[in-house]
Formats: sequence, C-alpha cells, structure tokens
Amino acid sequence: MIELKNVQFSYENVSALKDINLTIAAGESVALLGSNGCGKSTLLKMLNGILFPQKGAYYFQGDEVSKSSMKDATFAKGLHQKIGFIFQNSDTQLFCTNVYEEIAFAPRQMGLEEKEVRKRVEDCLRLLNLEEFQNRTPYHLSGGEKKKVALACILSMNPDIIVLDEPWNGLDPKTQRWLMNFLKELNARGKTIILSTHNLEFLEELTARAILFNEEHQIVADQKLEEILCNEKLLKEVNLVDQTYRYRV
Amino acid sequence: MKEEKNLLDDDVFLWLSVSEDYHPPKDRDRFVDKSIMSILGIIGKLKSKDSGNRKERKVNATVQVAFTFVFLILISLSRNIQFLRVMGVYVLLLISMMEGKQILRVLRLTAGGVLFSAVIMLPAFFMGNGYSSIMTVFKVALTVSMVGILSQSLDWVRLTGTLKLFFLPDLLLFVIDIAVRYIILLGEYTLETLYALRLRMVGKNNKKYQSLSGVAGNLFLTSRIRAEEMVESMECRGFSGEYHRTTDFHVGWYDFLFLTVQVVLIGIYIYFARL
Repeated sequence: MIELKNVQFSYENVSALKDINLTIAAGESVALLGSNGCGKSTLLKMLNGILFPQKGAYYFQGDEVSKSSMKDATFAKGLHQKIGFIFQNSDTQLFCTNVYEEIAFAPRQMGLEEKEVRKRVEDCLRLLNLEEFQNRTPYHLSGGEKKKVALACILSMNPDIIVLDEPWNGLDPKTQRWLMNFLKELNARGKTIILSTHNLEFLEELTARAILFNEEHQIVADQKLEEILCNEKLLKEVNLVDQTYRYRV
Repeated sequence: MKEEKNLLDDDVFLWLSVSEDYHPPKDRDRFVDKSIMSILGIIGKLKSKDSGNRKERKVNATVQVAFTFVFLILISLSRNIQFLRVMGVYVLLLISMMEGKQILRVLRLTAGGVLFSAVIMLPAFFMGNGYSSIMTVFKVALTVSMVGILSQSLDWVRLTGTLKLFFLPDLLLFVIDIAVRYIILLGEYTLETLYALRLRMVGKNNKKYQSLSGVAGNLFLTSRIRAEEMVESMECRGFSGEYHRTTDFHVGWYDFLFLTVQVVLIGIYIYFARL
C-alpha cells in the first residue's frame, strides 16, 4: 500500500530524512518512534503528499507520489481522501464556522447527497461524543475536544489510512485512553493506522509494529514493538529514553 | 461526568467500515498551492535573515550602517563619474565576498532598480542629457546595491539594534523585533492551516474563498491570543513598560580594516570633488 525507496529529504541544508526504506501494508498499525527532530513529522507529511522526496521515491498503491504527480488535481485529491492526517496542533486544522460545518466540509466536496452528508456528520458526532458541540465554534473548544473534532473531520471522508502526528500531546489521561481505544477499534475495522509518538505507555495496546529513528534521521529498527521496547540499549542510543527507563514485562 | 464510549460496535457505521469508492471530480484549486508558495517564500526570506541561519559577521553592525548611510549621501552628491567607478569596484568587491544566494538577491534587487531608473531616464537620454542620465542610473545601481549588501549581511536583531544610532526608542526597537518574529510564527501557523485545507479539499469546492476567509479568521484569533499571552508572560517576568536594549559595541581588527577602507573612499570622494 505504502512504499518508500531510498528516500532522502532536507530543509535548506538541514537533513530530515536519510535513506528511508519502508513498506506499510493495508490494515497495519504502525508507530514511528524517535527523539525530537529525528524526522517523524517530516515522514508523515511526505506520506500525505505535503512534502516530496528529494532523492528516492514514494509509492502509494503502486503510483508514485511526487511533485509532478501531485500537480494532477484528481490524483492529489484521491490521495488526500485515502489518507487522513491529524495534525499535532488541532488549531491549525479547524477553520470552519462551527463543528457541524467542519465535519461536513469534506463529504460535501465529495459530492455526497446532503442527506448522506448529514448522516455522516451525525454519526461522527455521536461516535466521538461531540453532539452537544455541533453548533459551537471549534476555536473555543478545549484541546481534547478540538482533537476529537479534527478526528471527526478526517473520519467523515472515510479514509483507508489515518495518520496521526503525536496524537496524545496535550490530552488529559482519560482522553488519551479513550483515543487509544478508539484508534484500536478503527484498526480492527480495517483502517490502517500510522502514528508518531513519544508516549510509549499506550503503544503496546495499539500497535504491533514500530519503526525507530535515530538522531541521524535514519531508520535503525523496524520490528515488533515489544522487541524494540525491550532493547533498552538501542532506545538509549537513539536518545529516546534515559537511564531510568525500564521495560515492564 | 459524561461517560466516554466507543460506538463502533453498534454496526451503525457501515460506511466507515468499507473502503470508499471515490473518484475525485476535476476542479481548479491552484489558489491554495499559490498561497502556500507565497507564504513559504515570505517565511524563507525572513528566516534567511534570522541570526541562527547565517555566519557571524566580523564588522560591527553600527559601523557598517553608519558608513553605508554616509556613502549613500556621498554617491548622491557626487558629480564625478570617477568616484562612482571607484565605488562600483568597491561594491563588486563586497558582493564577491558574499554567499551565492545573497549575491543573487542583491543582483536581483539592483537589476530591478536599474531597469526602473533606466526607463524613467530614457526620455532625458534621447533629449541629449546622456551623461547625467547614465550618472543617475549608475547612482541608483550603487545605492540599491549598497542597501542590498547591508540588508543581506545583517540579521534582524543586529539591524534593528543599529537603529539606536538614529535615536529610536528601545521600546520601539523591541516592538519591531517582536513583529518580525511573529510574522514568521504566524506565517508558519497559516502554512499549517493551508496544508490542512488542501488535505481536506478532496473534491469540488464551490466556496473556495469562503474557506480562505476561515483561515484568515482563525489566524486573527490566534494572533490576538498569542499577543495576550505574550503580554501576560512579559508581566510575569517583571515587565513594567520600560525596556532597555543593550548593545555590545565591540570594535576589533576587522573594524579597523573596514574603517581604513571607508576613510580612503571618503578621501577619494574629496579628491575627485576638488578636481
């Protein structure tokens, strides 16, 4: 479904991704792990067609995703419908007048009947316990509620893949737990989940596979999450944990 | 407290459990890409003037600004093309010591100025005032190049710091610094919002500009909140309306070398002015 071959990317002269080779199959749940600035967010942006490989290639369902292929609006829109991206900062993702309009934005563009749009919006509102906020301005919601609205906006497009950048940042423990369970449910229903995080606590419940980046922006491990979490030496080497880290068996 | 629940078990959400068979229609929406590109350009230019991205300059900023100002006056006063030629050599020398990207920016700026003044002076040239027309275009080229060199060789903090030379209040300099910083921060915020808009524009959007007004409204609210938060944080750090900007007026060997060259150039101006 997703294939990256020898991908490299740098901002000005600062390297962000080096020699990335990666394959993600449909229905997988994958966590990208690494310290701050290791290139996780850059990779997620690349998967969503915001950034493009400067060397190497990125294929989505066999088609190359590049600057030139994304100039074809039909291809770009198709990719964006298939891959939903939840930004780290939900504030930047919400720009409509109220929560209802926010969730209805994509289904309306997809040309669905207004009746179908309403059903999708109401389902998403119910699914995420947002019914009481449907007429509220997204900007005035709390951090957790904004995250839920952002998730609802993406779900209403019904993407095959859901990409989340640091999904647990800024959420209270209860909402963190709820989000983890929700993502698990989505994955069980066939959605591919790709997320970047520092929060190792919930990962074992959610993802089976982890991809570990080092500070040189390379993938140093792509294996079962449990194996990576057990490997304290490696986690310390990539500067993700300190000497107090102990893996709970 | 309301109990959180997952409703996916209800089997109500059949549409969410099947892959969407969606074929996007054709739509013209290059405006988002154009907006993204223009914001990226502005942020890139501002960031390139950020102190973190450039090599440390060896010449004191105040000295540099003061002498650039002096030479702008001398160039405009000069009636002798020999002095302008010497200044031309000096400017080329300065440009040759810059980085490739900076050279391009200075040359682009200069070319624009030269082209504009040449068009303005064209009637005078054909009316028989060839010498003064060429002098004017030459002066414009030198002036714009010198300002370009100054702008490229100093970062924002040092550039605004030198404004103290012109007796601007410290608080105003602080406001200018913060304004530049926040243009970058809010620019990055807008960029993220535009990316989000582009990612969610998966079909035909008949209200394109309405979406952009949402982005603008969001930006306005964010800038207001950020401004309020900044005031509060400044108050928490003891800000009481007074701000003193300190400048490190360090003069080194490079400054002496620079000063010597400047004095020689002023001498050349006086020499040619007396001819």
